[in-house]
Amino acid sequence: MDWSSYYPVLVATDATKPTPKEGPNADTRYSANWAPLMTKQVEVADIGCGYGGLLFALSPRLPDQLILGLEIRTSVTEFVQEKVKALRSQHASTGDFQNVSCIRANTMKFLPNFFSKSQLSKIFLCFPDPQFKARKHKARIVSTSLNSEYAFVMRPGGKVYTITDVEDLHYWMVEHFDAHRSFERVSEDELEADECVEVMKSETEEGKKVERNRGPKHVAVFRRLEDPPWP
Amino acid sequence: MQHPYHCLVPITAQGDGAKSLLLLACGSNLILASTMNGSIISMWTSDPGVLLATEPGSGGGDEDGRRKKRQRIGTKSGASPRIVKLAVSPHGQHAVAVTDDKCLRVFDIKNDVLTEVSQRTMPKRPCAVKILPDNATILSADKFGDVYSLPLLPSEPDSSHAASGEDPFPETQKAAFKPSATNLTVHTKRNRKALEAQLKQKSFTAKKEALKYATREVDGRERSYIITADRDEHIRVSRGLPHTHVIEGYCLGHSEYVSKLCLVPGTDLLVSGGGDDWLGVWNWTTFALRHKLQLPRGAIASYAASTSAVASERTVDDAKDTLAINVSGLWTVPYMDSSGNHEIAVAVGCERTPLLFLVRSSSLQSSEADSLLFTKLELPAPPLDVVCSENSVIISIDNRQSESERLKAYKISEDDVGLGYQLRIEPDAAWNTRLKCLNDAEQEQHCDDESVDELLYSVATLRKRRAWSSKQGEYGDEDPTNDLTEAGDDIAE
Repeated sequence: MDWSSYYPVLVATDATKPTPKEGPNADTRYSANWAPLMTKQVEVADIGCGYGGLLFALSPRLPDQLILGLEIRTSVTEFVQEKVKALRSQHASTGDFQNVSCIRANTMKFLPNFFSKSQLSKIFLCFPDPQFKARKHKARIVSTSLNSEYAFVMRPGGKVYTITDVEDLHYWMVEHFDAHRSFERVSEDELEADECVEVMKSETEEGKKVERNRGPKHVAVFRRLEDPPWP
Repeated sequence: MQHPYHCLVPITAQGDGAKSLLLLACGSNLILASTMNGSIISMWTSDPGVLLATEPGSGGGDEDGRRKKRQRIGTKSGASPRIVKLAVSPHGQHAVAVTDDKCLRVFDIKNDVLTEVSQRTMPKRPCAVKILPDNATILSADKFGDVYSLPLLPSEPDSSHAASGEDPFPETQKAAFKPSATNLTVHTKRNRKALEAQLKQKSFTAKKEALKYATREVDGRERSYIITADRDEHIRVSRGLPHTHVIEGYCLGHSEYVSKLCLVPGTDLLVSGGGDDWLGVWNWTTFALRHKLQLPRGAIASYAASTSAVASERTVDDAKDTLAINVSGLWTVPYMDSSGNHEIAVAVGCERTPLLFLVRSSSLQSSEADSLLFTKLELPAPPLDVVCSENSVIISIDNRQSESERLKAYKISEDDVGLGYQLRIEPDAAWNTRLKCLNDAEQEQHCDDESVDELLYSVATLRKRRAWSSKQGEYGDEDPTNDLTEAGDDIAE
């Protein structure tokens, strides 16, 4: 994965010429795999970022971390990418918003293509599509098998943040993460101390919409546990 | 018309009655044959009635879905469910057959008689099945991305639980789950009922096409792994039981579906094949792609051109450009090297192509030009399955269009006349005589060409129609651009 166009200022300066990609998937015979080195890796992912409200709110609060929005709708992705570009040029003097970007992705299928093992410290699942019909439940962004994939790309101690106004979906997400042996639920006390929870409640477009309608906001956060030792 | 044998599994029983048998699937018939003389020892035929009987109640609860299902079944009713996959326990006492009515059927074969001991209907039709080395656990994967582990011999009904999808929700939790509707949520009673029904089932990710169970020793202790492949170009390495929720890594690099996996015995190598025109040679313990082994397009294309109906209008070169290779089989086969040692080669079959390619396991990572590495075996018709017995290789062939026998035996050895990587493949006369009985056997079988085609050649349907899929909506699954094939790489460190 070549991230240089997404976070241009974070391309390693000494990497003037393409460096053969290293790591588990290196393939020396095919030059297409050469990508510029980056000084940082994406650590925070907003899956289904929509119009990017959360991304732009998190950017100043997590200045040292790379934040990536993943969105499946091409036109929405383009909107966010344009907004990133505009914000970066407006704040060119301060260098703000260099740590956010957005990519079009179907994370239900291709999450491991974007992130390597233990790469992420935070995943946000904000107001996901409730997919009410039982026939559509397989399209929900939280499921036992998908949770295994989230666990794979997350480092132990990392957190998955979920928020929804649909009680059904809230129970569904809690149930699935609780049942998954790689996650434990984070206590209410800890949530109050976590500024990301507040940002997630107030800064997402859906969050604002729910606010206007005085709807409920159900929040649940889960911590990635260490893998068990081999038997 | 003779129905081809589409699945073959050898059974090697240990202990006193050391015997070697062959289990064959032929449409809806399961056949147990002796390898001594090829005689049929026992035969089992699926019961035509069950298809309809097992169906009601397994639907998800949606009206439309149900109607569709019923229609589909309606067209098939009356026909016996056909066998789609076979597996035999390592100790050779039990066999598992998957039939196209979504049933996992366990057979007792201890006394050389096929006795059906259990029949379990899975949520979706299994597409890969394995019996673990403990001789007590079945792993079954379906196209909806779930891998289930089941006891081989069910002690109580419904004791299956998902392996890759982890444990189902404990009963207590299921009962405690009572979502209350508020004015602000848009759900109906039916929605909620359906939601509860679905909670009992496992969820979906990528479609699993192949399933392998691997073990390796680390610090003197054996670790087990489940390796699965899917339609979305991934090969996933998870831990084996009991920690199946832990994904150890992905072998990324394919740009088309992956339909077949083959572990090379005695090495950490995994060979993968599917819709790409190359085979992946991986070190599955480090997830590293060691080699892309280019399949001989030219040879395949010449056969595709000569066998296709429009052959006259297409030249070989045309065919070569448009040819889509669908790897439908990867098998390990034994051969004798020039100094008499037993070595292993990997055999590759491509769907609807009357060829089998062999490559020595020792040259899977060779730097030689790939085209030199393959030995081509021309067959009268496309190969369906390959099985090894006593260092001979038995190939089942789709004989419907040709006069050839359904089963052919070959012996493979190293060519000592200096043809480089080429192997010598000779018909095995002794074995072919033994197979005569099986080749001549007539089984009563209701089959028309179309339905047999559907049974034998389903791999190519996994290929994504990329141009078409770009028109799909929000949750259209396929990525319209090719970006994601590049995304198969890691972030540069």
